[in-house]
This record gives sequence, structure tokens and C-alpha cells, in this order.
Amino acid sequence: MTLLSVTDIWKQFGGIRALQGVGFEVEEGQICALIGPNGAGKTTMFNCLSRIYDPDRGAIRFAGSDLLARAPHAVVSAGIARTFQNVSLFSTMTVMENVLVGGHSTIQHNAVLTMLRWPSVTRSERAARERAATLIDYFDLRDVADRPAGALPFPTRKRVELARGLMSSPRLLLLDEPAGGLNHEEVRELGELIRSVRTDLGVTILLVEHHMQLVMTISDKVCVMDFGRKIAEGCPDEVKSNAEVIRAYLGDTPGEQPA
Amino acid sequence: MDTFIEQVVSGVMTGSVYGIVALALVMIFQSTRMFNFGQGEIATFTTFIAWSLMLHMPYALGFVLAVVIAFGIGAVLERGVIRLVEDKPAMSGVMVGLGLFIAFNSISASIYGPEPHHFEQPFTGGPIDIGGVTIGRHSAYLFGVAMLLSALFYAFFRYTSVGLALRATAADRTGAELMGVPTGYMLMLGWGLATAVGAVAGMLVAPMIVLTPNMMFFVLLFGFAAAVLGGLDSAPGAVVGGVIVGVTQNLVGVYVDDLVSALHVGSIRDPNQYRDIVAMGLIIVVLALRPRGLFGRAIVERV
Repeated sequence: MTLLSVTDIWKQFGGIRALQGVGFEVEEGQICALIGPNGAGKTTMFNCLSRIYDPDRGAIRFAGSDLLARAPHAVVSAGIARTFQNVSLFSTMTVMENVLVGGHSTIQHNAVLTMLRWPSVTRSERAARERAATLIDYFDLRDVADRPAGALPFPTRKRVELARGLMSSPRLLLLDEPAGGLNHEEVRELGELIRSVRTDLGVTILLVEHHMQLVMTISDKVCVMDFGRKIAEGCPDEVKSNAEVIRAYLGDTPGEQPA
Repeated sequence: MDTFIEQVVSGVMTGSVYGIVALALVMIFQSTRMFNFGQGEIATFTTFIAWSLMLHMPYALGFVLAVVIAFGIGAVLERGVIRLVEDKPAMSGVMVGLGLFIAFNSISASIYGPEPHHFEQPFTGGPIDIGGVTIGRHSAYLFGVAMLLSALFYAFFRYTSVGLALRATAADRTGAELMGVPTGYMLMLGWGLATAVGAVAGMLVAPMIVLTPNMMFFVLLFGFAAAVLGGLDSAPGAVVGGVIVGVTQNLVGVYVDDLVSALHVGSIRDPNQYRDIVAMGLIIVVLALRPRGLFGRAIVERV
């Protein structure tokens, strides 16, 4: 079943055409990667999916409903969560609190009822705490749960971000360059973690990534972008041997000059 | 020694009001990164509203209604005025704060006039005696309300989902929005709560000094000092800062005379004038030694 369908998205900033008619689909349960050289428009695409940017033209449908009709904070309740290129945890808040914020959309949050400690509110808060505790265990964060997130090593913060993203029980998780800043061994562990998250939590994953080894080992499908256009898509092996993709990454080789 | 203890105790009580004014300032600074210089004057205005209400109804009811009205004023201000400048340079926020100061001062003066109004005390009667220290009834009430309010806010921010969402919004608005927190609503809520806290401070202060359009001027100044002292991102720091400012003022008021005569540098005609100078001087010392305030967190930025 198609979970996310992006059709003909255009986005222009001043004179720069960041996206020029990009379209792709993500099937439920897939790990799909969006790759491309710097400036290809991958992050712009992500920001359109998060509703930070309004595309100039095009449609995004998620689980059959129109995503572009939603406000940014309502994207999460639609079932899409994301992590960021430069980990953006709330650094002065504890790991537990960070994870709990990720579940805000699942909690009844009428301010007056919250202050009165209304039973339905405390019930949903308790359920959120239980889910947060489960995720903290899953990502092996129990020892640091009460420490401020800003004080943790980078790879640990990445796991906190994953836990926070998954708090809202999303159907689709967007990962923006998850391997950035990690060393070889950490990337390998991250790849395994992403695959097990997909299997254990049944979440579909769309990632933007530069780290080719990670992309090629974990993805079911790869979409390649260059200069705001999609130039190829398919399984990792198909993409690897695609002439257009090789040209985008390595440039024209003298022997292959187009006539 | 008795004088000393009595002055410390009464300083703690006055200071608790500075503390809750500071709490309101910190709440607004955290969420919208601006100093609400209008805080005190809005509190004065809502205290006048409470005064009008209390002509027709019992103290407790008037008190609660005034707090609700104050919440509404804060929320409407955030929606209508603050939202226009929230992504503008910091100086725009300063100007809006000063504008609110002047606007609400004028509104109070135009409706209620400059003459002092008598504001009701809920507990009247002689001072009470606790372990040899005499405390005015109103001071004890004021201290109790201030502490209860601080404790409630602490618990609210620490243990509830909405409190958490407010803190997340304060820490990183875009991040919070993308986590599904409706941050616009949170800012409105933050302003409403802060203004409600200010109204409580106004109603506690009014019986001690008299209710006039300018009554909160110095209270705001010392609340501001308390907030800086405690660290602008710390709610418990704000309350402790208030108490430190209150105690310092009182002790200086009593002992500056003795100190000056002991040093043989002349005499002082009005020792009370020095209270405020020393209280403010303390802030400068703290900021020089510890710029983030006593309880503030150091901001470390990756470059």
C-alpha cells in the first residue's frame, strides 16, 4: 500500500529553483532513501513534508489525506515524525522530558483541565510516561534518562532523537542525515538500529543521507535527486549502476561525452 | 539580635512578592525572549479592577475573578500585540514593553485617577507572634500565597504535559512545533499565566503601600533585579532572588546608619534611601562574578 505519495512538487527561493517537479512514492513498511549531491533539494523536500515550507505547486498525500492542508504542528498527529540534520534536542531538558515532548500530540492537552489534574488528562499523561519508558529502554537510554540531553555524547543524542520521534507512534519517520557526524562503527550500529525500528515498531522510514554505504545496506528503495529533479529511482543495485546517477556524482567522464 | 531576625523575616516576606513578579518576568522572557516592562503596570491595572469588583463582592471572589481577567488580558496582548514583534530584533520587544508600561499606566490613571485607593486586606487584626518574632498578618498571608504560587508553578512546569510543552516552546520554538506542540497557543498561554501571576502580586502589594497608578514601579524594578539575580531562565531562581533582594534591602535600611557612624564618615539623613542602592549594587556584583545569575544555566554554543 502506498503510504506517502509526492506529486510534482515545485519550490523556488528567489532565483533558485530548489525543487522542479519532484515526485515519488513510499510504500508502507519500506525504508526509502532520498540521495543526491549537495544542493540537490533533499532537505527542501523534507521541509515541505514537515510543512516548514509551502511548495509552490504540487501535492503531498499521506495515508490518503492531503498533507498540505495541515499546520506544521498537526503533521505529527497525522502520523509523521522527524529527526534533524543537526540534532536539535531541547538541551536543558532531560532525556525523559525530551522524549515526552515528542508525545505531546498523543496527550489530551487542554491547559485548564491539565492544571485541575483532570482524570482523563492524568491518565493520558501516565500512558505517555509508560510509552516513553519503553522507548528509553528500547534505545538503551535508561542510564541517562534523567540527565540533560545537551550533556550527552553525539551518538547518544541521536538515539534520544529517534526515541523522541517515535513517541508519537508515527507511521512514517523522516530521518534527516542520521549518519552525519558518526564514525564508521557508529554508522553500522545506526543502520542496524534503523532496520530493527522498522521491524519492531512497524514504522515506514524515509531518510535523506549522504553516507552511501548506509543507504545501500538498509534501503529497499532509493530515489536520486540532482538540481531539484529526480533523476533515478529503484532498488540500491539498480541505482548504483544507473548512468545518470554516476554522472551526477562523478561528473562526465571524457569517454562518455554526450554527442 | 531580635531586630536582626525581625528584619530578615520581614525581608523574606517582602522579597517573596519580588519573587513572584520575577517569576512572571522569567516566564515571559523564557517564552518570548522579551522583558515585559509593562508587567507592573498591567498588574496595577488588574488590581484596580479587583478593587472595583471587591466593592460588590467578597475578597476571595474578587481575587479569583481579577486573576481570570488578568489571564485574559495577557493572552489577548500576546495574540494582538506581541505576535507582531516576536520575530523582530530585540529592540522592538523592548519598545513594545515600554509601550505597554505607558499604556497601562495611563489607562489606570485615566479611569481611577491619581489619588490613593484603599485596598482591602483579607486578614486584619494585630500582628502574630511566632517563636518571639512578630509578623504582620498581611505579611504572613502574602508570604503564604507567594510560596504556594511558586510551588504550584514549579510542579506545573516540571510534572505536567502542558508545562513540559511550554518549556519545550521556550527552549526551541521551531523544534517544539515540529514535535507537534502548537507553539502559538503555548505562547498565548504563557503570557496569560504570567499576567495572572502579576495580578496576584499587585493584589498582595496594594494593601502594604497604597493603590495608585504608580504603585508597582519599584516592585517591578526589584522584581526585575530578582529575576536577573536568580538567572533569567530559572523559575526557582527568581523566587530566591526576590527573597535575597528583600532581605538585603531591609538589613541595609537598619544597619547602614550604624555602619556609617562606625566608619566616622558623617551621618545619614535618610537610611532608607540606601536600601535600594545597595540592593541594586548587589545585582551588579552578582552579574560581574556570575553573569548567568545564581541559578541560571551557562549557555554553551557550538561554533
